[in-house]
Amino acid sequence: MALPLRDDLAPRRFPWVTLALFAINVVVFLFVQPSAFQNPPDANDLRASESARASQAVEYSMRWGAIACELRTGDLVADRPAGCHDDVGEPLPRDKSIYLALLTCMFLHGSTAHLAGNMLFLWVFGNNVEDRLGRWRYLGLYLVGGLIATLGFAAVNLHAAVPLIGASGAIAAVMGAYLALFPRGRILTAIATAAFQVVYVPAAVVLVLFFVTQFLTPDNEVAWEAHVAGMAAGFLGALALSRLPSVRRRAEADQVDIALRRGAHF
Amino acid sequence: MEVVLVTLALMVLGDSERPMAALAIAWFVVTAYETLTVATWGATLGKAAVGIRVITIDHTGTPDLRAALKRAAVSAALAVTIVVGWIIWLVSSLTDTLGRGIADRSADTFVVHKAAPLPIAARDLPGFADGARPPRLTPLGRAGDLDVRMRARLRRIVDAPVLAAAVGLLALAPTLPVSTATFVLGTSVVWIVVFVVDETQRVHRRGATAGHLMAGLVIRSRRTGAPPSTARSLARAVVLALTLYVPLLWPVLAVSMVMVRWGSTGRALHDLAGDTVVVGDPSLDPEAQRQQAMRMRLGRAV
Repeated sequence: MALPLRDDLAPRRFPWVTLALFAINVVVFLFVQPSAFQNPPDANDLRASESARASQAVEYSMRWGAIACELRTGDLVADRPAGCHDDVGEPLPRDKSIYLALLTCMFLHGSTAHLAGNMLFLWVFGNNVEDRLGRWRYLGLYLVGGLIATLGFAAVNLHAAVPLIGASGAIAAVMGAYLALFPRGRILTAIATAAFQVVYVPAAVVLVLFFVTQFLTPDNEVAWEAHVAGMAAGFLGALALSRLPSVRRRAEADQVDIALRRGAHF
Repeated sequence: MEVVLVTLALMVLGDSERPMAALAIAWFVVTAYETLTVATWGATLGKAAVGIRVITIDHTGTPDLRAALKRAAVSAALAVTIVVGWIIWLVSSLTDTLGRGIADRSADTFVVHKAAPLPIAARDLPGFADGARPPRLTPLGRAGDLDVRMRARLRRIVDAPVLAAAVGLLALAPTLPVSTATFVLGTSVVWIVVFVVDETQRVHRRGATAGHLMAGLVIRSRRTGAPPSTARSLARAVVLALTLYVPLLWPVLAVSMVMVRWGSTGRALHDLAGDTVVVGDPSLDPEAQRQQAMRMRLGRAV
């Protein structure tokens, strides 16, 4: 387990888009999603209110989360399309917009730990990518990356009826973009495997490791296919965008800044 | 004041099913209160009452909205994170030579006495720090401060590709089919051996690691004034590795930290083992040493 804490590149412009995405995710999780996500119902508590909260959460994630076999067949899980593993809970929503869920799923989170982890990665990697690419291109990269990540997950798990929620795919795209734009950046990382330590590690090491561990430790709770697809999309997208004249000019200005910091008595 | 505001806000907006949302409301209220008071008056009501105020390094007047917001957001996050946040706040301001906690560090602000001469330029901070706490001089030069040495430690693998690769491989180690105990023991031993070999070699050959050089510090033998011998470097590296990387020995590491922070020559336990002292780089003039240390302290080292 390696957890990034911050990097040593200070952006020159205030990261408004990153902050807005951060705020949207947090506010949606805390105030819009059913309370069962942040305060899991106790399975041993037999009161009706507790089980109502639990089924409310299932219904919510089935309604607003992206579901692979719905995307494949175009039919709702509630209508029992052919070839769907329907081992999900009840109740199932009947009035769902399958394609709107592609957008909404990337602003929902399953638990507090899920939200906290995603927001940490967004905060560490997002500000520099936003600064380099520009606000609108960055927002585009985030949304398109998240979309590709969801579709990538759906393409591998064609028959899955489980809802996919979380900003992980979009944030993996931002991480891929960071790897393409700042391979020499240094990330302050807490390494929690053994010999616990906090050190600045080259960005290439942290991000390539993240990519590789996705294949090595498949986990049923984590949509690792989405991480891989998102990261690859972000990497390639940022490589393409970095050829634009305005992005190049910003890269040159960053180089000048670093040289100034090195030589100047601040 | 904050407590009153938070209680009122939670009474109006709270929802017993949403504990995390309640925390967020408390954070928002404290942030708004601190931002508005600091941006308008330069101090919260409590700070004004005891005669201190917040200024931004390299700026005149009260902090602008952005700095006030950044400072308030961090300090409110620490304030509402019961106990854990308070400990982080206390430790971060105690270990910093200028007494700035992480809220001040993230917003580039500084809490000063109301009557302090304003403004404070980053260039003048070394002098300000020396005024607050006289430099500790040893026969070999000025002793390195705890916060600078800790920050140098964070940068220790900056130009050490072997260690970077070792970190990477250890992060992949959880995929090996071994039990947790074997895994923890094995990776710890591997890392400590790699670390000790690398550290011994660097300290013996150059008398510094990458982080030390960035901070304008060197490691010198107390007797000869030269980089320590191989045996002494090894002893130093072993003590350092054990206290840093064996969680059971972290209380001993805390003793080392207290020795560096408050000791008269700032020598930690691993310095005693190696008979070394960490001092300003003698190839730099004293002002350059002070500026480089301050740059490391402000997180602006390159």
